[in-house]
Amino acid sequence: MNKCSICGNPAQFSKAHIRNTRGDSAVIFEGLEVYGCAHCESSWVKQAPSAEELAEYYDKHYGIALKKDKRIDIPLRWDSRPASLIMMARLFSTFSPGDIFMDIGPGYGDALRLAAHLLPSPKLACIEFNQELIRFYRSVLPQVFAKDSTAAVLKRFGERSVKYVYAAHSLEHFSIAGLEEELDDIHRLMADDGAFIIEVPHVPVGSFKKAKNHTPHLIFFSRPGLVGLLERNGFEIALCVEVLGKNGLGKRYAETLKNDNPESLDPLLSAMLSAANAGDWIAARDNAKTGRILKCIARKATR
Amino acid sequence: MTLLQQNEPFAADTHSEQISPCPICGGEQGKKIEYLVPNADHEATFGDRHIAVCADCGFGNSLPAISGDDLGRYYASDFAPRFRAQIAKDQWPILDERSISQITIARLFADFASGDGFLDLGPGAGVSFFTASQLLPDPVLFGVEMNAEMIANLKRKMPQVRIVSALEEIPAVCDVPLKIILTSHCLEHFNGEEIVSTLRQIHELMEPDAILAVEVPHWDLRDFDKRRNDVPHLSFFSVDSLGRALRTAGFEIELLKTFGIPRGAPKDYEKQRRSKLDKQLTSGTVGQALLLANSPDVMPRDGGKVLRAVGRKN
Repeated sequence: MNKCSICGNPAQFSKAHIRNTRGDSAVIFEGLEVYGCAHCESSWVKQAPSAEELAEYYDKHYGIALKKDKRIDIPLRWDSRPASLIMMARLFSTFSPGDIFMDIGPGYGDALRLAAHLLPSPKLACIEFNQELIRFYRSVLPQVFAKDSTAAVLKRFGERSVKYVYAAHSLEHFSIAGLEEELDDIHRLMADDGAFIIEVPHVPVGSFKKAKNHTPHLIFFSRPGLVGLLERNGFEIALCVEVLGKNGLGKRYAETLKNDNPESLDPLLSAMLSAANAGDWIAARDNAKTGRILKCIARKATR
Repeated sequence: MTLLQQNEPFAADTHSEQISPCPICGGEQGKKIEYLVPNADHEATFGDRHIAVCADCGFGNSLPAISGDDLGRYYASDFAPRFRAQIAKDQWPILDERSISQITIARLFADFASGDGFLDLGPGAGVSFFTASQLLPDPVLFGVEMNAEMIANLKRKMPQVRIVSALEEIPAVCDVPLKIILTSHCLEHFNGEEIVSTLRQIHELMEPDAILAVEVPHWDLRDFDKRRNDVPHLSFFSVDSLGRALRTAGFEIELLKTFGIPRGAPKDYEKQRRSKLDKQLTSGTVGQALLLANSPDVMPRDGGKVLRAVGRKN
């Protein structure tokens, strides 16, 4: 029996194929064969596009079009996702002034900009393929060190240099082989008492089968799959929880709780309760069969 | 009694009687320091005592122990819990960042289903019950409280809370699994010799996999001592002593950290920090959420003034 590429356990595999509703822009993913592990219920693309093809896709085709997006006009904005993740990381690792916060795949840079407010005097670094986005980060955060690979950050700052490595909705974009290499680099890059902050979509095999579109993801994590992959690569898990996510049940659940607030409730208290009840923040098992998101804080395993 | 000067070394041990072992770890309680009672009205209950500091775990144990009857009388009528002024003005609900952050952290570790039980040991004004009713799905609420004024207020504001006056009475009123137990700024009010037995009692009440969330003042009297008034605290916790007490009582530690404003920070520390936040980001309701995320109650720090722990029953 072969071993699962995610959790590492011997298991039987189901086969499926990537469905693409993004059209020609994501054609490199269409029809790729996917293996699903019966043990951990994670799935992965067996033969991923090459590193060059992926780099070109994320630089030229991935759906972040800054010029068409009005959000670029807002210098700073609140996003409960990075806020909750950074708060969770602080529960497990002390961030001191001058420590490095590195974001892998920062998108609009919300986590970088919030980190500048939530952490004490952080140095900021990020890894991004899209050159337009890198120019954008440098325009709003001139101090950010932006490169297109973890290896480049390793070269600049050295081993054990980064206190928080932040990867929200980026690990699922790697090929399984590429992610193993990336995890090795992250392990070398992270401080011994640092935190690896992870958020990925929670897509066990059953959810994969129901999804209409899978692109451009190459790995589809379950909770035991994510935990197993990290542990096999030298990390230990401080916390790994399913949360509701922004869509569907989570949004309604938070809205319901807000509606239950007494009319006399102080607006500030109302805002705080709503923030604490945001779908991005609360663990899901109490009110949903399956959370849509996995949040995880990992540390270097004690060897 | 006089106050210790800031940064003054620990007073020398002038007591000649046999020193009892630390009630948390069994180590040597070699150092004895003065117990501070600046208000003469408290002398009758809290006077003529000292604090024995364990060299091994840092637990501060005030001695001699005060009888349950004396403490019962004090907490029933004399003690002034947090939010007493707001309660007197009939304000409700009361803004409480502390309980929001405590329950938010607890639910990261707890599998809390609709209809499960939430128990607060020492709820005082009972603000945690309002917060729990907003943050947990249909919780059944239980409290252990001794103060008559606070019990009367809770019965008016949240009549669904089942309040008793001692932990031993909980099984008689509890018919659901207790999944989150909160004890916030309560354990330090127990005699040192009662800490582990109280935690064991809590442990017995809990369902397997349930969570105990603890918050106490952080006083490692081996390292720092800027006390001004010890009344009515009887136990003084270091990180190590709280962890050992929880483990001895059978808990697995999920989280053990100091929180809050750092020791030695200037008085306007929080004001200074907030003034540095971007005004655009901190306006409106989302801005309030950021302020919550940055409040000293929420932020873990090295050497913060409060100590938080999350323990799990296996």
